[in-house]
Amino acid sequence: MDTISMIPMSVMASAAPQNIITVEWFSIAATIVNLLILFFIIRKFLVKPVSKILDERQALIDKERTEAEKANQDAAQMKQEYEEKVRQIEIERKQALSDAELRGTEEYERIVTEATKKADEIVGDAKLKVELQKRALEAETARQLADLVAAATARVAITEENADLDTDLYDKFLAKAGDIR
Amino acid sequence: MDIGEKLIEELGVTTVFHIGPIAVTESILNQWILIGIILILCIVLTRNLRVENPGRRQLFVESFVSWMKKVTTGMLGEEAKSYWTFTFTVLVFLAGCDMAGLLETRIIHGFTFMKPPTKDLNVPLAMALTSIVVVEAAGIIRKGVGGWLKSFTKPIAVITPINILELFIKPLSLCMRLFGNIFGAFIIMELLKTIVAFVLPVPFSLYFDIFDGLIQAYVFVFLTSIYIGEAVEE
Repeated sequence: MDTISMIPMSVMASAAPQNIITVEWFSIAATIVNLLILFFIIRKFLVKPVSKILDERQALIDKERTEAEKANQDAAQMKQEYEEKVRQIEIERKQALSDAELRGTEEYERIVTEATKKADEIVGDAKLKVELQKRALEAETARQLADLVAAATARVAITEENADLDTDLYDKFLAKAGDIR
Repeated sequence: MDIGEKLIEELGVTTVFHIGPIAVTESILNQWILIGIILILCIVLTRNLRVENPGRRQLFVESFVSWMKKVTTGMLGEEAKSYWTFTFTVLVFLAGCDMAGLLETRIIHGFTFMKPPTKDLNVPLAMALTSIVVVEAAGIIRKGVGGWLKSFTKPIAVITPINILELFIKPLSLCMRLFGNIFGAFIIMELLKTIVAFVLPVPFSLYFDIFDGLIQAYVFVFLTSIYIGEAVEE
C-alpha cells in the first residue's frame, strides 16, 4: 500500500489514475505543514496588523473620550464659576442700589430738613423784623403823642386854671401811655 | 472515452512532480497556490492601515476580521477563545479548498487545474489529525497531563473506554464528513459537466462549490471549536 501511495500509478501509466482514495503520508504531512504556514501567514499578516490598528483606535477613542469628559467637566466648572460670579455681581448691584437709595433718602431728608430749618429761620427773622418795626413805630407814636400831650399841657399851664385837674389829667394820660407801651 | 472513464480520470489525484522519492500531488500544489493567493490578499488588504480615516478597503478588512473573531470566539466559548486564530485559519483554509473548484480549468488531457484539495482524502485526514492534536493539546495545556488523563474517566469511570474511543472517532468523523461531502459534490459536478458543459452546471456549482463548501468548512470548524471548548472545560 505504501509503495503504491508513494509512487502513484498515474505517473507510471495512463492518464487515468488509480489512486482515487489512497493514503499518502507525504500529502498528509504536507497538508499539515501548509496549514501551519497558513496559520502563521494569517496571524502575522492579517490578525496582528488589524488587531493592532483596532487596539490603537480603541486607545485613541478612550483617550479622546477621557479628554472630552475632562473638557466637559472644565466647562461645567467654568459655567458654575461664571454663574457664581453673576450671582455675586447681582448681589453687589442690589447692595449698591439699596445703598444709593439709602444715601439718596438720607440726603433728601437732610436737604429737606436744612431747607425747613432755613425757611424757619427766614420766617423767624422776618417776624422779628416786623416786631422790631412795629415796636419802633409804637415808640415813635408814643413819642409824638407825648409831645402832643406836652404841648397841650403847656397850653393848659399857660392858662393856669384848674392846675390840679391838669396834673391829674397828665398823670392819667401818662399811665395810659405806659400801658400801651 | 465514456463517462465512467472520464469520471475516474477526474476523480484521481494526479502527481504533478517529484522531489526525490516524494510525489507532490495536485492537491498539495493547489494548496500552495491557495496559500499564495491568501498571502497576497492579506498583504494587499493590510497595507497602509491607518488609525484615523480608514479607507473602504481597510474598513472591509477590519469588519471582516472583527466578524470572524466574533464568530469563532462565539463557537469556542469564553475559556477557549484564545484558540480563535487557529479555528479562523482552518475556516479560511477549508473554505478556500472547498471553493477551489470554482477555478477549475482543464489544462491538458489528464490534468485539471484546481480540483478542490479537500476531494483528496489525505487533506481532510490531515486536517482532522491537526484538529484532534490541537484539541488534546488544549486539554493538556489547561489541565496538565494528569488532569487530561483523568478527564477520560469523566463524568463516570464506566465510560472511560468510550472516551478513549472518542479520541479516534472524533477525527475520523470530522475527516469523513468533510471528505464525503466534497467528494460527492465533486462527482455530481463532474457528471453534470460531462453531460452538459454549458449553463446547467452554474446553479449546481453555486450550491455544491460555494454553499456546500462553506457549510462543510463551517461544520468542521464548529465541531473542532466544540471539542476544544470541551477539552478546556473544568
